Amino acid sequence: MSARKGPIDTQEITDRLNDCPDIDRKKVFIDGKHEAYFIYITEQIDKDILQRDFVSYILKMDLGQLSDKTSVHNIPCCEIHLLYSADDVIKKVLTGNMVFVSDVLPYGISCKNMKEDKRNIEEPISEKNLRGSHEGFIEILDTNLSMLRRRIHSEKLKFKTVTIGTTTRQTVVIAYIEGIANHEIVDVLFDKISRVEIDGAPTIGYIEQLIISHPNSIFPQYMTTERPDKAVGALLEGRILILQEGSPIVLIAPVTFISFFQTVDDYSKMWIHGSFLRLIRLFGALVIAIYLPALYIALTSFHYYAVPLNLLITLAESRSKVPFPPIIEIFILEITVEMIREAAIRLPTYIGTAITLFAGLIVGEAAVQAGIVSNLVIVIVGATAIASYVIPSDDMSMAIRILRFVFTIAAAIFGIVGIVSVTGLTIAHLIRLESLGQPYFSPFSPKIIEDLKDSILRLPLKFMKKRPKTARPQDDIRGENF
Amino acid sequence: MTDNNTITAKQMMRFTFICQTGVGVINLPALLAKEVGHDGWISVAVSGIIAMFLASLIVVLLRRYFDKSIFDITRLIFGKIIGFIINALLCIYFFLVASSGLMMFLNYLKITLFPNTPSIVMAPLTMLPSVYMVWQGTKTVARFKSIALFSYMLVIIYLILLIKEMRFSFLLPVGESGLPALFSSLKTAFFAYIGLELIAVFYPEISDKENALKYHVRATVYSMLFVMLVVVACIALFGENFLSVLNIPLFNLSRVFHAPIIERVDVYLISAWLLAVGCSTRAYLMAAYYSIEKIFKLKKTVFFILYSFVPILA
Repeated sequence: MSARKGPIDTQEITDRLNDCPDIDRKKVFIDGKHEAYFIYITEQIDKDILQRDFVSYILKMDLGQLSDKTSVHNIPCCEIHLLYSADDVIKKVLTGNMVFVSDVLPYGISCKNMKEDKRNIEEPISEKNLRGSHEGFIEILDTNLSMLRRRIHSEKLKFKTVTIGTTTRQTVVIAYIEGIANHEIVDVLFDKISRVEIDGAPTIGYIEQLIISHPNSIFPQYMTTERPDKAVGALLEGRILILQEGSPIVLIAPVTFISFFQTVDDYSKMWIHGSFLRLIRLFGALVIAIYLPALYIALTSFHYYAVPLNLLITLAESRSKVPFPPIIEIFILEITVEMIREAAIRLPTYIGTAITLFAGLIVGEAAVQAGIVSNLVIVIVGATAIASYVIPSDDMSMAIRILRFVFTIAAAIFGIVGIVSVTGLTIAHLIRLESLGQPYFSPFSPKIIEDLKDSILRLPLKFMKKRPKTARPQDDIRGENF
Repeated sequence: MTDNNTITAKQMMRFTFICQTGVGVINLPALLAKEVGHDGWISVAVSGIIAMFLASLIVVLLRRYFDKSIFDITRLIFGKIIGFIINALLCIYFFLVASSGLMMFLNYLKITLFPNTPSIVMAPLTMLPSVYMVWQGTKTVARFKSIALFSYMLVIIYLILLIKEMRFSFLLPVGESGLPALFSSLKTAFFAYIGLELIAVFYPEISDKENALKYHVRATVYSMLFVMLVVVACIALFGENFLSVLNIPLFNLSRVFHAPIIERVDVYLISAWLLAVGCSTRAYLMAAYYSIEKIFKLKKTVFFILYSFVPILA
């Protein structure tokens, strides 16, 4: 019965855990005389199992057995760790372990068996689909990782862990498939995330903004998803995922401009159907959502001679009742539509119905009769609003909506030349952008003819044997070495 | 910085091609019609062959100085002071070409779309993409060219639509104007190929130099084919007499076709061509900017771009 003092000072731990009533300390005695403690967060552990498999075994052992590593490791519990400092003990307690410490032991013993309060796995509200799985990522990191592993039964699927946040100490995981993903890009990303300096990241968006290379651009450079099937698709193309503890959103990088117009359904449907949807989306987003209001302004205020004659008559008729220039007309409606959208997102559903009612009044016949806007403008703004919601990614749809205002203003000042100039500027910017060091506007410029197979159209799967070049995969051909 | 400037030989080809055709092709058919009537396409072809020789000569000469641009070479051959003067002159030349190209296009815009807007207002607007891209480096400028090729496709599609209206008998008899007139018109036709000298500036930035010669000659061939296409189409459509009184045959061409719904094709064609013209003036602007950087050893700043803005406005 030697009263040797271990490296762990229970008094220090007790002091540091002062004023944390959620953390329990249960006092026991080893051999009936040495004080020892089980420390744990009451709500995070599975008490029944831990008592059966951990506490009862420890209590049966005497000091000699407890000091013997072999017998400790023989405790029939999944995750047993030996801890050698007070810091480690506290870290383990805070991440949901039950820790057994005593002044007389040479180490602390931790055991993990968590019982977390978590949301059910449900279909993500922001990304519904018809033919894919109806699972979505949730807030618990381990569950998300296991969802990925359940889909890729390969030891090549690797997870690299980084801890970020000086205060929050959150876990961030970089997931990739070894042998497909380019390890240089993985290293660059790992470096970038390790160098993030922040006290805590409440959502994954914080990390995204800190690691993108063009934070002042309006275009999103990393893609977000809540769908495991989309994430797996990205992994198989050699892309890299970033997951964060507490966030159901997963980042995908590197991506291209066109990635934001792709959905899982494009691939699970037959190729003609997929291509049709892709075309609708691109046409809707790029032509209608950006150009339609701008063209209307350019044509009505500068180039009225380019309007077909029979349309010109009705146009003039409806315009004659409106006291404002076309730009004001468009702006009144566009801003209203944006406000309706913003209001509808955050309001509870029962108020939402009222909003829809008022929206129908403003963007409708009443506005025309009041003489604020003309009929044609309502049609144009309505079509534009629908077109911008066709884009699957909310980030991209946001970018397009901002761009629309820029185009509208340019068209109001310089007519069609303004539109062309801003188009030039936008494309120049897209060409300049990079996502994790890879060209953003990739299949178009720099031209990669092969990758056009999955851009404007979605060609049959037999053309998809080669992986897209965007992520510079190490293994070009699908299914060759696996 | 070097990273933002490296381009491939293929990109250089598009760069040269658009630089050659962008502005020149708008009024070239009319100028040629004044000089040699309906034989304009012959002088385009002949000067194209000469341009090809010149182009390959430039590249072959550049090869001897492996990693050097024209600015280092002048310094090497003429010594520091004379070399500096030549370089400065070159730089001024690039500026002037860029601004004259822009002025020409602004004039066309004035004639066609905006009769009341003063050029001084239009200039900054049309320059906006150029300034942004030049600031971002050669790579961006070169990559943009493949997007601008879209405008060329549009023009070619449009020409195909017009085939029904053309009378190719306007081109006969071949060679009626005679050799002396043809030779004197070579000078005019050669304007279509100005731009092939730019490779001397950007040669050190090309990553695959072994392909440079092949692609550079190919650029000239493409320019020749495109210009010939436009010239032939203009002659076949308007006839030499009418053509020689037109100012902007390429845009006059676009008024011929009557499309349903769109009504005025020229509005859209001219604005699409703005992309190509922007590219071609941008190429010279880039050269000027790049050369300033090389000669005066200055690092890039936004102010410098603004500075390069000024002579264009003047």
